[in-house]
Amino acid sequence: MLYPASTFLRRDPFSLVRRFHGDFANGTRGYPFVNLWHSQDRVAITAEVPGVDPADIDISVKDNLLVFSGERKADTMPEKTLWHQRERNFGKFSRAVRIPFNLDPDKTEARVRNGVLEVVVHRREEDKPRRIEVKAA
Amino acid sequence: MFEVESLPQESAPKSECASDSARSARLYRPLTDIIESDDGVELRIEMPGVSSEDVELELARRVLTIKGHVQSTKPEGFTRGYWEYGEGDYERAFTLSEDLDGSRIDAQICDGVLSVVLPRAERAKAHRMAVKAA
Repeated sequence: MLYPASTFLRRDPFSLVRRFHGDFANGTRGYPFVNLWHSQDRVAITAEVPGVDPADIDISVKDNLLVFSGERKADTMPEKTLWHQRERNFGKFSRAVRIPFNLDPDKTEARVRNGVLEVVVHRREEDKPRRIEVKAA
Repeated sequence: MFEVESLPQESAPKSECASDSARSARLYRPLTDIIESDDGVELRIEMPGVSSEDVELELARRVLTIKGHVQSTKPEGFTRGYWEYGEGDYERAFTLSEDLDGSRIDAQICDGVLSVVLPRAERAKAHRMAVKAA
């Protein structure tokens, strides 16, 4: 494929690569990042939410969708402070995770430990596969 | 004045990284806010998954090294599925200026954010003198 020369003469020689990478990553990931774990009838979701008060996290479950949202509140600062370095981010967040089965809202458990959120969701009882016995005629 | 800056990544001893890898696969550089007030400097370091027993602070020749060991969050009886973030220990080093008192460092961790308070040394504090009218 041919690119016009102006594409390469920009200040950032990797802008093309970066843009390509950005297109890839933006749609699929958002804050906070989640890891998924699974077993027979359960799925566990872990997410890193450092600095978030557990009371500020809302979790809702409907059909096969698990949504959790919350807010990273900016720390209160005494007056006359000077920032030397600012790398952490603050603000509201929301994340929806689709689970491959219908969820039982009554059995959902969630806990936050050391800034890591863990939610365990169970498969609905009616949804579980049932074993059918074969009778001899 | 108050130079609190992170060391370049290369200065971290490689051999130490290797020995740490026995505990977990990766070593991360945690996100840090550095705030200065009249009383001193505060570092706020994000270390999700690290409990208070697993933080190590070491001050040697004015270099403060902060290490956090992550307890695996793998829930019992589950297998790993979809993966967005990696788990590993944290390490970052900061050089303290002469104005900070290294002997009175206070650190506490809450909800995965480590707060390290470095008080200003007494001799570095500003003194206000009253000027008398003659």
